[in-house]
Amino acid sequence: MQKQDDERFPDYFGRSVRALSDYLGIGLQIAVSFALFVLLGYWADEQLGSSPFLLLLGVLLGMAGMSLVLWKVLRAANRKGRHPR
Amino acid sequence: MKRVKVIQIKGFFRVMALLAPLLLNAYLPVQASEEHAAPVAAVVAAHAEAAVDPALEPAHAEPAGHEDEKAGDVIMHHILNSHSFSFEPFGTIHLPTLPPVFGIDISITKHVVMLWIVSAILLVLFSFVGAAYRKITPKTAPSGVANTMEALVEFIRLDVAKSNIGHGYEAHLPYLLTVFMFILLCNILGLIPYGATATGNINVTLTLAVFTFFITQAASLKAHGLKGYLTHLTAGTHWSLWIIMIPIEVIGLFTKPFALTVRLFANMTAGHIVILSLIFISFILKSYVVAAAVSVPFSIFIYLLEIFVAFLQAFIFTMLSALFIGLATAHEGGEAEAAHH
Repeated sequence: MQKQDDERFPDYFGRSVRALSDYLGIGLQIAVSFALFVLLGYWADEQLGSSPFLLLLGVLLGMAGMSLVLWKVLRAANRKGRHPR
Repeated sequence: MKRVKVIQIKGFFRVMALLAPLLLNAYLPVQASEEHAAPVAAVVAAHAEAAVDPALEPAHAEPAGHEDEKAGDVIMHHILNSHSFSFEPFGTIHLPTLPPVFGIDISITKHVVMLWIVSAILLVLFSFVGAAYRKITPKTAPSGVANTMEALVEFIRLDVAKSNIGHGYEAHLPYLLTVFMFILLCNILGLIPYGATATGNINVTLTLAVFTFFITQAASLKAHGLKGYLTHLTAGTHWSLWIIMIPIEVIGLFTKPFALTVRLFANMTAGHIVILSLIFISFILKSYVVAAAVSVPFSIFIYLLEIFVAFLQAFIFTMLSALFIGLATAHEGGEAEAAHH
């Protein structure tokens, strides 16, 4: 058992996956949440007949949500950068 | 050296003697196809004879003997779930159909049988390994199958569970080991001739991902308590933004297991489609040159790649499950760190 060589790849791989972990689901999360707000606005418009204002509101909320998600990730990344593991 | 060879040959014959009645399945009426002229027709006819429930696959509700089937249909038949196991030159085993429960068809299908086979193999194998471990003393080393399994188990324990979950990883180790071995065996049995890939069925992968989801949430609740769990959903934002943030965070909970589901399913399905497509190229072009130059070498290459992918996907599913559990249990500020170096 050469300990050095045996543990090198899984360690590297594990570290890279852990580093990636914050960004693994982020694309899907942003896309789905944006779609959710927009579709909610669309649906509310259909119910109330107030097209297109609620749809636009949904778009705005979705955009705000996307920025929030990105901001949250950035904040976490900054925190990690200050205390490197 | 020579003795080892003799033993190997003996063992091979023993295994073949066991498998021969299974492969020839003598208790089934053999459905011989009439066309021996064109190899395509033989393959296709056997497929057309595999009587499939029309509700499951409308493309296959064709009478037997209809020999002009498209390659795409054959590929889809190979990949999709069905009510029958077709052993091409020997015949077909029709699996029992059960009456629907609450409008849901719960008949035993090909993939269900594969899941049972995998579970049975794992049960037998690991009972054997466990017994071997009970027998050994601290002075003796395990050998044979037990030794092989020890390498895999130790790999999952140290490199996957311990390094991703960190403190208290022992509680999640049984789940991670089970899911790793189960997916690995499903993937490998899918590559064996006459086998079916259970993990190439999105229902199976979704179920596995749902297990991971529930275990992750339970671990998170346990680590943070209900209050901490709920504040996790607000992601530390100002209360005026909660109306936007909470839906996004709830969606975020579901996206990760969904990504797990699709990753495993797509990888297992895509490999099989690629292999079959490569083989069908030579049938479509009706040329031996293409078969010798393209189909056979390329499909063998992809096949070898698939063996690697079988291990890789099982590993990645387990790794990401461990990672999600680790992220859920990690306290703010204190990260679960890589423990061993």
